[in-house]
Amino acid sequence: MNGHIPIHLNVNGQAHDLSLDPRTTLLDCLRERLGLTGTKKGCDQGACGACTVLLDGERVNSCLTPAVQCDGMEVVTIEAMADDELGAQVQQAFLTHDGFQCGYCTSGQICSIIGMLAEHREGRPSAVTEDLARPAPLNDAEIRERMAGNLCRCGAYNGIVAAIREVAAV
Amino acid sequence: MTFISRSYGLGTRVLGKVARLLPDGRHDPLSTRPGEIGRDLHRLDGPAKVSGGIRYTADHVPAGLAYAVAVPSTIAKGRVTAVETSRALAAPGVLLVMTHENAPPMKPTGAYATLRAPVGAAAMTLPILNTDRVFWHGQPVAVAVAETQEQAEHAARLVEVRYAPEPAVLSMSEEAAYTPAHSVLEESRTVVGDVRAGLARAAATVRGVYSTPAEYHNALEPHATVARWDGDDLTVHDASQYPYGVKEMLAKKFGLPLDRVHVLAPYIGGGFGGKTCAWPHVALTVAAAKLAGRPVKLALSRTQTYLMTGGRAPTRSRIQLGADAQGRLTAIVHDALATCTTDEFAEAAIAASRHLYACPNISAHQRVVQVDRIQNAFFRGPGVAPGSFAMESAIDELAWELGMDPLELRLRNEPDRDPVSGNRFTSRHLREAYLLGAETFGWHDRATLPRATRDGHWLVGQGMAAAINPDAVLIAAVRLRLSADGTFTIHSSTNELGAGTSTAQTQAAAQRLGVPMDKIRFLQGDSDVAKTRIPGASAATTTLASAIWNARDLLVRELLKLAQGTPLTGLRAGEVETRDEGLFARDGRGVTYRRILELAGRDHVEVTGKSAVPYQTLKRTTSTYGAHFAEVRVDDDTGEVRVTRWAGAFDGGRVVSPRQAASQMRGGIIQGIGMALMEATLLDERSGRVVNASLAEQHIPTQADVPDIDVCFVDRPDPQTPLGAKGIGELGIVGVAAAIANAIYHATGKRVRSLPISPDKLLS
Repeated sequence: MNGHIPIHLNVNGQAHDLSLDPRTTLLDCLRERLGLTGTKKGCDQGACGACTVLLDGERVNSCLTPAVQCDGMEVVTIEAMADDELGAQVQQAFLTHDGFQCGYCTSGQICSIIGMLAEHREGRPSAVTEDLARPAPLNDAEIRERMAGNLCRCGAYNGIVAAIREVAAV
Repeated sequence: MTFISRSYGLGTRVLGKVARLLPDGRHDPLSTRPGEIGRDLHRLDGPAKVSGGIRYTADHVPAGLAYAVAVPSTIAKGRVTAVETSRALAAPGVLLVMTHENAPPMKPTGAYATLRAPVGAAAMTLPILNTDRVFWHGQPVAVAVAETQEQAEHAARLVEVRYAPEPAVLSMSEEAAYTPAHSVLEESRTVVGDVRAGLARAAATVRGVYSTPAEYHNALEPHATVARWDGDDLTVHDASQYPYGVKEMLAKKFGLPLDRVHVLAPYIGGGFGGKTCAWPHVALTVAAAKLAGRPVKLALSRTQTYLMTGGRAPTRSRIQLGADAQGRLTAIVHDALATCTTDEFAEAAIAASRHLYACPNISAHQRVVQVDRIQNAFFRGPGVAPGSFAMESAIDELAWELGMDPLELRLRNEPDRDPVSGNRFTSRHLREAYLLGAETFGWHDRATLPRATRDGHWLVGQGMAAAINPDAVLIAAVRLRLSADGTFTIHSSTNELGAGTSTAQTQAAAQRLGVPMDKIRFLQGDSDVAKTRIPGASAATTTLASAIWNARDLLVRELLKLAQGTPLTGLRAGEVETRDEGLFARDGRGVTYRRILELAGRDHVEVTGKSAVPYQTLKRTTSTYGAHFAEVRVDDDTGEVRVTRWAGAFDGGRVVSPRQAASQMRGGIIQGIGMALMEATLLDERSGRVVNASLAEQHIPTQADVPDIDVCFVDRPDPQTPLGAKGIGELGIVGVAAAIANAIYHATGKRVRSLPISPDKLLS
């Protein structure tokens, strides 16, 4: 029917059976179809990171992800972050270190941090990792490089680094 | 100079004389008192922001919503000869295509930015979609409306527009330059003393031409509007810094009484001046909703934010400075050029040259060129941010010429009165800021010669610059409501841009009313509250504080009337204090707010307080000040610049909310780092097209571009401002680009006078 494609999507632990226009991005699906407006559209071009969500545990730009490609996958958005132990810690650390101003990039930053910490735990290197044979310590240079895909125009970068330092040290 | 600009200059001089007779600002007793003001607190809206719980404009999806997408023009100037809509209309889900042939009439409104008719937030007077004329490349020439966003985007691409192009003016040429009647917040032409004589007797002189490109705000939230008609009632969610101005504009454009138009913008995802004015898409969304008979949402794509909203105008400054052997300035000459449009919003790049340094001979001249581009816009430190790059670079060059430390040169030229008007300052603690910043940074450890410090292939250098920004108290009213349970609600039309307004106002109001912060709710961004003209201008903190101060005084009078037969009987307003959750006389007699309402049998008391007329800002010069200290590393092989250390020290009066204030200064500094090293909106001067209309091609600082930034405040109350505070929202960006350019000179011995300082400029 109208070229729509049926998919099954698990979002924040809830199952959804949807019939979607193949042009619909995961971002627009979350926001306009499922009413999960916590995920933001900043550029719709994969350049700002405001739309970052976790897809089967990996951080992705949901604006560049066609929703119909996510059939059978699990999506975690900012709305479920408080239910996750690490997610709640990051949220608290953002409050403590003033890791945001207007709040528009914040959902993407927090989802991105969860994904980034998992990448680091798995020993994946970044562009500034010196020694590829060994796990890199999560120092400031590593944090900054690994979070460079999430823009913040208000300039809360220092607070975000401080929040990550705190959470990573635990 | 035109007749108009001559009369304007004369008018301001006469006004200046009269203004000296005006009273000073009323001293705010709170400005020096300890309490909630100045306490280090987390943002009150923080929990909602970190959980995705704030609803921004585009998050609203009312029942029956249709989606609109604007079609940009592909010529810079001319006429639309035909709009072919049949293919778009035949596409699935399409409801309508609005063009200049079927758009409802929208009455022209004055352009807010020119400040000549500061009513309504309209960005421009141009009648977009009520004319076949094209005024710039990217102007909306049609709007497609469909059931879904995908369908509307597809339909917009199917609209075919034919044009009769005309030659357009797109470059900033000297030949077309003229002196505007009015430059924003500054006189266009200033002559003090005799600069020729000043240059003739100088022991050292420097001269240079400095340029800055067009730049954009790039707030992470793109502009968006959601409009809904209910009969003749219009409700609009808009990503606006100025909800009351949008209400006024829409009422005028659609011929509605003011009380039928409701504009809501409690939270916006960053503004920086880009959402001060209502760009054409706002009225077009309302018009489309009218045609569709349904609610309509129009969210600009990121690309469209560069086409359908304005940014900072490019500037070119010629500067000449002279100083005697002791480093005292003998002449300042600043001829500045910027672009504008027919609405003549002239950004004044000359502000720093007029107000920063004591100098007996000053000539400052702002000229503009009208171009066929989208109108330029307010952007954090309009005029002064690009202009200070020129002036503060030139001061550094003068310091090298004199063989003097640039900090010492600035300290020797710190004025006692405003150098241009001769007015006294409400307060000025720039000297303290210089010393505080230098101490924090460790300025005196720097090498005395350029290109003296090397670390492998990195050249290391330090530079500094001063910051200045005008301070203003504007027009606002708040509704203050005391409920029977002793809690307060403050309703404000001005909203939260991210600066921490709601937190700062709650802190200040708690101390003003003598209640704990959790007894206060601050509600914001509703245009229906009262006439409020705070479009930004760093003015929210002091203007709202002034209105709340007035509301507190009115409330005390109301409560004393209600408090007959209590220990307060017979007391006058001046004899009671608002403390301990009630009204108390100095001898300790008093009654709590709750008890007063209980005894009077009242459910609530509500008053409307208005901000006071800021006579002191007409009579005296009132600005905020700061000093930036920067360290850079420059790759000698590639020209790459990394900013590695920063200290900023600022005088913004008393600091109300320290954590939020420091974050806001950091934000300004980071935008300044972008301005210095990477930001430029590139225009194809043949076609008028923006070449790099995306965040992939137009870089702003990322996490990896920014070091830890030290921010400190002088934190001395201004005796004439509400709370003793001043507006600091814009100050942080001013001077940053110069501090970096000066540090790059110290590192490399290369002076770059055009922004951004991209690697190619350091390799030549």
